[in-house]
Amino acid sequence: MTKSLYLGILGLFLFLSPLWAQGQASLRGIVYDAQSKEPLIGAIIQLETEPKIRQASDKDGAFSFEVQKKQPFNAQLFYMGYQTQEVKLEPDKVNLIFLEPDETSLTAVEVQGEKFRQDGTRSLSISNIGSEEIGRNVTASLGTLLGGIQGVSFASFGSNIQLPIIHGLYGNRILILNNGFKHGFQNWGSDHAPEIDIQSAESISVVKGAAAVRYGPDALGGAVITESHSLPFQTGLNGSISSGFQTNGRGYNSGFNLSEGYDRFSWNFGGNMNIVGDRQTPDYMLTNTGAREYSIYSGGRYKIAENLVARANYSFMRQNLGILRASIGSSGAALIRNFEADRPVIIRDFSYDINEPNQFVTHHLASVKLDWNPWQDNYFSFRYAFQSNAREEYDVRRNADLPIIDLNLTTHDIQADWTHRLAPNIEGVIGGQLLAQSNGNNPGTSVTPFIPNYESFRASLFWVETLSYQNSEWEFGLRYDYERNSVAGRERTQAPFSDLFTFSNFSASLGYINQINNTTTFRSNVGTGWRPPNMAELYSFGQHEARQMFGLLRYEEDSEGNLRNDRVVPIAESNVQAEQSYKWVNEIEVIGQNNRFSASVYANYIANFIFWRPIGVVGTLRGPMPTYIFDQANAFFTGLDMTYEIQHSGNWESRIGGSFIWSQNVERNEPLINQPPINLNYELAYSKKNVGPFDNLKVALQPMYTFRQFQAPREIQIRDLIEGNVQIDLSSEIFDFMAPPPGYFLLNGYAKVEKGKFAIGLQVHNSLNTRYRDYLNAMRFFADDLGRNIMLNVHYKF
Amino acid sequence: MKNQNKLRQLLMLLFIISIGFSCQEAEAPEEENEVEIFTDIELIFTAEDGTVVRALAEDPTGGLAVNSSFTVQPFTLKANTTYTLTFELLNRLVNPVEDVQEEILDEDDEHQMFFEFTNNAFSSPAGNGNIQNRDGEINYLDFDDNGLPLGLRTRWTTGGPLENGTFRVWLAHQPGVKTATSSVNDGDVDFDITFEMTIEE
Repeated sequence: MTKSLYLGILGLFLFLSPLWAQGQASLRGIVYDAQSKEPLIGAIIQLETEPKIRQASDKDGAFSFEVQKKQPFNAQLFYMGYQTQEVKLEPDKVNLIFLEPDETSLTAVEVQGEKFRQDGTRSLSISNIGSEEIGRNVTASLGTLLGGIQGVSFASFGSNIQLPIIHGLYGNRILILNNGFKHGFQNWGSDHAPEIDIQSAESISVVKGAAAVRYGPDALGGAVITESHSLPFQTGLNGSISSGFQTNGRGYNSGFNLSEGYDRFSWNFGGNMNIVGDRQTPDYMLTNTGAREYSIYSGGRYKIAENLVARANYSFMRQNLGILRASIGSSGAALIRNFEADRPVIIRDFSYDINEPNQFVTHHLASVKLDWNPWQDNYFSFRYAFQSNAREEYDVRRNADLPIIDLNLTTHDIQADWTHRLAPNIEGVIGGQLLAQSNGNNPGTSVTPFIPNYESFRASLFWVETLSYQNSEWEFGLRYDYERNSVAGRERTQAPFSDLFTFSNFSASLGYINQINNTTTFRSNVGTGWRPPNMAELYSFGQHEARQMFGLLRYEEDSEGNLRNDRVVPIAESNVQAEQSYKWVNEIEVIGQNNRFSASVYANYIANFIFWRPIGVVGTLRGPMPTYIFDQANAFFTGLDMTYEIQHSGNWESRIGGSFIWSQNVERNEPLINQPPINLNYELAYSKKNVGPFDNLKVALQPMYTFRQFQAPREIQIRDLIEGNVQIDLSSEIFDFMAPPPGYFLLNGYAKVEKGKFAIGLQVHNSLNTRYRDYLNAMRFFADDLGRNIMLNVHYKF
Repeated sequence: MKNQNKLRQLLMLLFIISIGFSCQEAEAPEEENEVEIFTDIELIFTAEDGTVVRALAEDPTGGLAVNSSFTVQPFTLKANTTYTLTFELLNRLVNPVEDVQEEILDEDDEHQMFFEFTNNAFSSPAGNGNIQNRDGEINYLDFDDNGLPLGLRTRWTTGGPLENGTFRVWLAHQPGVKTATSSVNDGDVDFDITFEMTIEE
């Protein structure tokens, strides 16, 4: 860790140093990633001369030394997360150097942005999480892990279900790209997290901005991209085993990973298991919040010819996630009692048992990829993936043994693209995608299906070109999507209904990158995006978990202004429209000798923004039931993300970050619901090599403060609605059943030691055992958030 | 040339696949029986002389509408009379109409009926019922397998005349938590309805 960091900073320092060497001959070359064949920026090339001369590769991976003698020179190459390589540099020719990723390094450090920037996203703000951080957070979900990034937060539905929020947008506005494919899952509501084992990922990056041109309508708000094992050739058998324990929930986890690479073939195989029981707040147990997760993954890569490489991957994940028992009432009266209680109404002793309410999900992903490089600077890629997602959700009800939601979703995804260089300063990619999804309700739930059956088909074409000119780059992108949906479901009376509709639209983006000087880069991107409403937004119907929900087509207003839901409205008769977004993101990044600063400012206007909100409490024989509807309005989001990192001395470093978002329903001039509050966080880390018996030591403290959400809708208590003190109709101002919780301070931290191939990590979350509730956690209505959690993890890598 | 042919074949294949995918029609899911729902909850007071007093609480949408509402009929009992209270619990949203009472009887160890009424409206049970106070007196006539009260059959002896009285019925669903001391605060509520009650000479 320390070593790489040191090298990184040294690299930056060298990168910024003027070159003084003058001479007779030149040693030139380009450094590439041996796997991706992408140029590596900032790799350090050290000539074994006396004195040693060092240089960092530039933005094209290139370097050039002037030397006195025209002769081959020995050089060493260093790059964070890659194996150090010794090469002989020949004078007056371009030496191509391929660095292999360092799979066995425990010290692989966060790899900064450039490595993962795909065409079409260069001018956007991107953050990465590397394998070190992933490995340190063994039990974290994708959502919580990403929540550490500025501008990214997560919405949770209790302690097991977290979804990333990027700049205030979440759900199916954020594309989860798992190993190159759209994760085909029930991506709706706040209670469905992506079923991805993040431990199988080598890196995760977040594209903060409208990446719709490159990735399609699902990426209207951004994209989360997980990259699986790179499967390098020519590496001996290597792998890792890890095992850990956590105090909160008495959870234990273990995992393994094996990989090997021959000349033409490589493979990997791994698996993880995570079992947690009921979690606890500082004061009481959170009954039924246990989780059981199992995953296996495997991949193979085969070099068919020098310019043709095939790759196949398979992964499987199975989850059984408990949901807080006290969040659900089999009737409205019980639910309201849960809302009003200071402590959850059902608290039992600790248990690993998972009862209703819970979610049981299995997900298979099988994919094949073919990379073909027929001519220099021309890459063709063909990809196909099949995904099968089965989801069963159980509620507390008289027929609790029957799932209340029982869905199978199959996804076929075919992609082809051509990455090219048209001229020395023009490069880009043209591609197409066919995506077919089929969703089916399994019979036997004894309730009207919450979402209907559907067959969805989308065909897309995109074209992105980047033009480099001096210190600037211009990025142009255009995309066309056509989507067709055939829907069939059941009305309240069980009468069948069906509908057929299509959406199609263009998206465009224009990006600009300027390397202002050696230390400062400016990025700006203006992009449009669109997104058709999803099935849950259109057709949600019924009582499930903590709420009763009505989709956009499940209710209408009659001539007297009363809400009715006697029928499902055909989309052609409704006012429902696709979301249309216009986003402008600017980012400035300054990399100094021992510090780094980045700030991004964005403005995002979304016409026909779809959101759900409470509409009141309806009276039923089972008691009053809180009711929510989906609604559409024009919305505006603007915000600022900032990070500042500084290396104080050889051992101390710190990072401070914060993000602020302001959002408004501009159509009705009122706040939006469930938007992330302001967040500030700080990390102070101390690292040292060769401490006592250990090779490396790192200790970090991570205080963070989350403010009260001051832009939340007004509060109307359920009781006031029941007693008729407040009348609500469609035109009433937005409200919520509970005011946002107060701001809270959390002190987290971790320590890690390494000795040879062993590493031991200790992580503490909420070390002060603070009582708090998080505005974005749906369970805030019912219970406090998690108390202190200490996680111990042992890792062995060979 | 060979490559171009392959490319053409591939494009052809993609074309065929996309035609295939784009013509899929969804089929409606199978019909489901909404079993969680009560549309009719009727109190049936049968006096010893065979006179029957009925009071119906009705929600024709079963609470599944965005504008759900329900109606509750008031009822009038005779003073100083002993009644047996039974129920009719129906779900009319399914076909044939479901008698929910059968299911409650099957799961008698998970259910209990609780009551609350105007204080001392009855000479037996006295008091105001067992919703506010678990130990309040109720004359249960039926019991589950564990010998705990169920409440689908109860006995009531009215006191003197009463106007503007109330009679509240609460069916608690207490899977795994029904005990001799469990109250309305345990488990979930299947229904909770307050009727207007009058007692006449």
